[in-house]
Amino acid sequence: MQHIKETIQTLHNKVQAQADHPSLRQSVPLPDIDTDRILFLYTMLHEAGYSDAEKETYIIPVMLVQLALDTHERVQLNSIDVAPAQMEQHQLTVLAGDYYSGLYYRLLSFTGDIPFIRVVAEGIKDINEAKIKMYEQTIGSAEVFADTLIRIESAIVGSVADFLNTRMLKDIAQDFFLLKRLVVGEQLLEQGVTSPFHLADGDFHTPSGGTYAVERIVENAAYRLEKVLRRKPYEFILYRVQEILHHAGHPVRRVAGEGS
Amino acid sequence: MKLRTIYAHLDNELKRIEESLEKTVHSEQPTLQQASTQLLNAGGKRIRPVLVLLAGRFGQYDKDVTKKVAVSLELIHMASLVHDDVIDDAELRRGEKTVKTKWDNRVAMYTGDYIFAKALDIMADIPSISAHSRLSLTILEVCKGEIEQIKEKFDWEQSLRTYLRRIRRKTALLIAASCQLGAISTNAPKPYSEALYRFGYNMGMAYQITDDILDFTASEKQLGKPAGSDLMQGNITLPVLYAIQNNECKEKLQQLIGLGNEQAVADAVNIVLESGGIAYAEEMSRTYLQKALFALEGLPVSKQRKTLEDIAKVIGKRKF
Repeated sequence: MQHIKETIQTLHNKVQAQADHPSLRQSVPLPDIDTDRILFLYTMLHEAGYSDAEKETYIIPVMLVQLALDTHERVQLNSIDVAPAQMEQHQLTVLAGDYYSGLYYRLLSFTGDIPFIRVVAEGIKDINEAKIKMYEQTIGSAEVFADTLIRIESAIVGSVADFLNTRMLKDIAQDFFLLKRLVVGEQLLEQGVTSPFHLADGDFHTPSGGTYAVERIVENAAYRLEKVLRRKPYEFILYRVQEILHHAGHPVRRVAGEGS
Repeated sequence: MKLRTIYAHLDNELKRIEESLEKTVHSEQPTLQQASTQLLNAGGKRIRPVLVLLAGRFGQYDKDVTKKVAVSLELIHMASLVHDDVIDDAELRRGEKTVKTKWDNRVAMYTGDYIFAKALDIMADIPSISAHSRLSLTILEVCKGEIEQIKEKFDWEQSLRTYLRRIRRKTALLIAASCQLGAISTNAPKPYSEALYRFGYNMGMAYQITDDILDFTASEKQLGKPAGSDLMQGNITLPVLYAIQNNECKEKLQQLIGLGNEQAVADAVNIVLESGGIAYAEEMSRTYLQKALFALEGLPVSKQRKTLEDIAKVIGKRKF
């Protein structure tokens, strides 16, 4: 477990170094580089038989895409709300996201793997469609809500899994990132931090008419994770699920009860 | 002669590109569909697709291949425009409400990212690694140019070299890439693709310098924004760089920009007009245009070469 932790941290540092730009460094803080995404990508590429050097050439660009999308998420909703002193930062935030997107394409063009450029592009399209859907709150039911959130949180990882033919890891990733997003979202909400996706605050009406709370989506995702991780234990992923649930003080115990 | 008349013989192909653009930006998500369509309808000269189509004819011309490259480049340009409108807080583009005005910044960000991804999706049909390498480098450089533009705003000490580097990245490289990628995608001989790159690069430089001149010489109606807007936003363009060589002009301009009212804008424009900065910039634009025309001499005499020549001449003389 220590080895994988170190490997993931090394990759994290390389993504951070790649995203560094002297004109952005001071003004645009880099969003968190999600080590869980690195973990999933690493595991998928490992299963598909890629060498460590190859893994790196794919993981870094994919993580840059995530940084691009996360950076654009920080752009103020309306420019009128931007204080004059913050205007430069606002403008550079837009450009920082564009820069990370450009970097992803640049790095993948070095690999010569053109189909993979499409794989990532498809993930980006899917995420942005889902984001607008969520943002406009055109969500009718808990199922649609969960599905849309899955697309936002794991469309790229899912596309990569399809490309690498690692179907089981795709399923795990979808539930994992859904669970993580909701649990973290709940925590943020308790601290008064909202996001365009804070619909997690409310109840959702299922087509049958009953209420279907976010809690229930979390439980279902945790249950599915438990089932699949029992079949094929990915030690570090299981550990992360336990950690997330534990930190949230979440009542779901079954996965947490499974041990490494 | 009008630009459209020069490349009228490409009308059928441009129509197919237009159809392909519409089809490509289609989304099941209504807001995304509307926002993308609105951007498409704001149109523009489609100069990049035209250049791809013409450059492609110097190789083994393949309609489908050049169409894909042309559509991809136009989408990349569109994606950058929708984000630029957020950066500039622009209300209108070509008389139409911008995406950020009709919806908000967030929808504009999502739309831009979505269109950019569509562009790469289409480009992935082109198997040439060299084409991807060239395009990705261009995208990155364009972005650096935009970052520089923000960082260099109100920098009264910047040099001519800084200005030229900025417009190279901001404008010339994507035009150059349009020419070069058109040629690469149809396997045109390397000397041709290189000549086309030089043509596009120099024409792009002339184009941007002309744009910077028009900020002072064209009317509000022609520009779609008040004259002097770039200067008031702190963009130190070539006519201004010339004007501020005179310390008195520099101090006056700095004061006027600080005031920011209508009279101050008019006075600032007058200072630049009277400084000789326009004539200086026109001369520089002509020099780049001549270099562009010279680059064409490396290409076989043909209808497409003549069309490129005519396009360059019209762009050099445009009044708005």
